[in-house]
Amino acid sequence: MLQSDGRVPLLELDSICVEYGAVKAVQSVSMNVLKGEVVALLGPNGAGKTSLISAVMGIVPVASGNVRFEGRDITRVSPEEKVRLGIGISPEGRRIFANLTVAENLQLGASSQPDKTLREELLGRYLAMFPILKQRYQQKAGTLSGGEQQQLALSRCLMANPRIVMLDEPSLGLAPVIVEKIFELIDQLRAAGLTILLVEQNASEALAVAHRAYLIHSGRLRFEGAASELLESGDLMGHYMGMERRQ
Amino acid sequence: MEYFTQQILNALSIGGNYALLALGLAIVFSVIGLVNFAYGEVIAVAGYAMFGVYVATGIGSALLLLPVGILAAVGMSVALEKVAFRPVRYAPAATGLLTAFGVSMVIRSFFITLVATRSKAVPMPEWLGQRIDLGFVRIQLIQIIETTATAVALLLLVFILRRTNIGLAMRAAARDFDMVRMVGINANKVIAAAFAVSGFLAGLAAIFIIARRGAVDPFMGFAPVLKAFVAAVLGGFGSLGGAVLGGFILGALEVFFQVLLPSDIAGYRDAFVFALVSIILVWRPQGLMGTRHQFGDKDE
Repeated sequence: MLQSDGRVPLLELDSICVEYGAVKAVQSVSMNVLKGEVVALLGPNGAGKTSLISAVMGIVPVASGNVRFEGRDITRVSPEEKVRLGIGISPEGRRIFANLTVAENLQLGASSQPDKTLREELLGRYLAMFPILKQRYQQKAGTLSGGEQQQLALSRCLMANPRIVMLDEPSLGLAPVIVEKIFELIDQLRAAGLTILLVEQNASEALAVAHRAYLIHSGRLRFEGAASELLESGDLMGHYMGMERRQ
Repeated sequence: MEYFTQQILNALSIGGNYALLALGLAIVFSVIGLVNFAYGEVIAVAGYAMFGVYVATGIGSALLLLPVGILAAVGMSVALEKVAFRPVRYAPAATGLLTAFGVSMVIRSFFITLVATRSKAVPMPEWLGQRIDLGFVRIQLIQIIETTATAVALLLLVFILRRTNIGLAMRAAARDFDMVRMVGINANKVIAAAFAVSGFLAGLAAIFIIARRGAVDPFMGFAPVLKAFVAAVLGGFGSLGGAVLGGFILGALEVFFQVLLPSDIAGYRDAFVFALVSIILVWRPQGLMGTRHQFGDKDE
């Protein structure tokens, strides 16, 4: 499906439903992410955001609907194969391997990448971008602070050299000053041309870096449009996100 | 002095055997959360493969039979995963457990029907039974070989887990299997590797079990695996270091009670051993080296 400006979506979700037994976590959500875009997926806790991207990744089953990557149907493709195709994820709760060192976490992140030269180049690039990881390189990842673990989770998924990354709540549970820093890093990745699907509860920070946004609530899509449009629509934000209109 | 040294060696070789098997159970459990109760049959398959090759070729050489035993165990372990456990991988844990019991019965019945219920002799080279005189003590060659082989196998495993990509993936999978898939590592490969390692350990253990008994029978794997399971629980189920520690402690306890108990109640040795293990577990329910994580609390 071509967009109005003629660009082909990198990732397309077509009427995705996710069910856990009788519970319908996601109900017929369609959205797309264009190449080079930062798209925010917003919604309060329990809205179905994590279920949706877990289904995109293939960790939870898609009850109905299709996921397409560069126009190809990948709904039933295994998570590991999706990583190889170029979809990276930094999951909710970070899920770093606490029992392994920072170096080993990064090594695992690059394990889908057969080219050794490229692996070393990526490692150099992301250690420069996340200097704290260089300092903690041989430390067990479990000994890192929350913000450091988040940087590790980000760089671990970047080590696979993905074409799109899905970042699930990168600011969750972090101190405001660290959140600030994480969003600065996301902005750097955006500037480098990476395509990003940013899942957040922290709407104002997410909308500040995003081009477009989707808002979901109770498993259903409630809004889609430009990030600026959502930011200005105090009613929507107040209604679904419990946020006061900003002056 | 000789007696003491002899008992230490006994404890090391018995404990080493339990350690190998406990590790084999723990490595599969840590990766996919399956308690493989068909593990005893992997040992039996190694034994019958050695027996079968001996009967077919008439060659009783260790150079032929030992690789046969190990390859058969690795092959059987990997095949079990593919045929029996893969279809129930995402089913509730009890399904995997029942599958393991089912597989175990099928394989056992297979040997009972096609070979015999009673045991069949497997020749072990005479030199294995030799005693070596070290002046202050005479020790059995097999015990030295067993202890050395166990140590080498454990070092090899440490090397694989620490220095290879697949080992790294197995350690990561022990913590968060889905996340391993989300960094692009093939789940089937990691699981197959865990079963291959597990099979290798069973094959190695089987060789020494058969060397002691000189025979194979359909139930030969049951008792060692039951002990190994106790050892793994004692060490902390799912913890690899714990499995090894639990194995050696269990071996030491057995030898200790064997020596200590008067001969008229020596038959109750295992009851004393298990009673002591129970007390340890009341004190530390998660096992000696187990963490809350391995105890089932994924958040630690």
